[in-house]
Amino acid sequence: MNGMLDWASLFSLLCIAIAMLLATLRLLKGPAAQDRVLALDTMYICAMLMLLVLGIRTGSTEYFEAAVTIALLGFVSSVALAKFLLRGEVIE
Amino acid sequence: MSGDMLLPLWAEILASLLLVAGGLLTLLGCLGLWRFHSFYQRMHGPTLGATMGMVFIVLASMLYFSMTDEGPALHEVLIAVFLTLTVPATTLMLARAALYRHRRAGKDVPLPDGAATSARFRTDTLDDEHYYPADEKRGPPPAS
Repeated sequence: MNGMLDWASLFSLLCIAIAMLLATLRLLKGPAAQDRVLALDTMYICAMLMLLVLGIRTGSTEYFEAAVTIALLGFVSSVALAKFLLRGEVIE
Repeated sequence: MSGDMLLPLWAEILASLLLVAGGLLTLLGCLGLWRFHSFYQRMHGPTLGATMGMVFIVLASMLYFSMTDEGPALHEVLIAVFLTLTVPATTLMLARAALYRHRRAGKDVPLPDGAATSARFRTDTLDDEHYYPADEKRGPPPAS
């Protein structure tokens, strides 16, 4: 299909890819540790959105499960990193 | 792309608009993450993508799979509910961690009254100054 939805999903994928690039730049630049954690948090949300758009593009529902997994694990890792910044250790 | 199942025109237009809006909002949020000047401003950027961008793309996905598969496809609501519950929690924890770290480093956060409205809200000096050599050459930001 070379219709409107194809172009729209391609545009959306490009936007999210540029967004991930900007988050990567922030991850590399810092300047503080919390900036890097925030950039990682943003990157997992962007990756999840990208998987959803890819699911629409290919018309298969397998991408949805990967998106749910990324959302779950990203939340856990972000909380662990924030807790580490706050306390200096993850499990007290 | 599965070309055999064509969507009705209204659904295709609606899904395309939702996809474009979601992508643009996510890009705008990450632009804010890159361009803002202090961590407390930067935190506000990605929430665009985490709230409305996510909702738009999830709605587009629900619309597409409800139209192509038989019956309504509601499993995408799972992602929306989950992110709506978890993103504020991580943001709050990160903000508290940043406040704690800044205070322990002897910085005055949140900024005193007037600092945010005077001149331009530059708080690069709140963070590690040596990462901003251009700002050091320019001198410290104007005192409020």
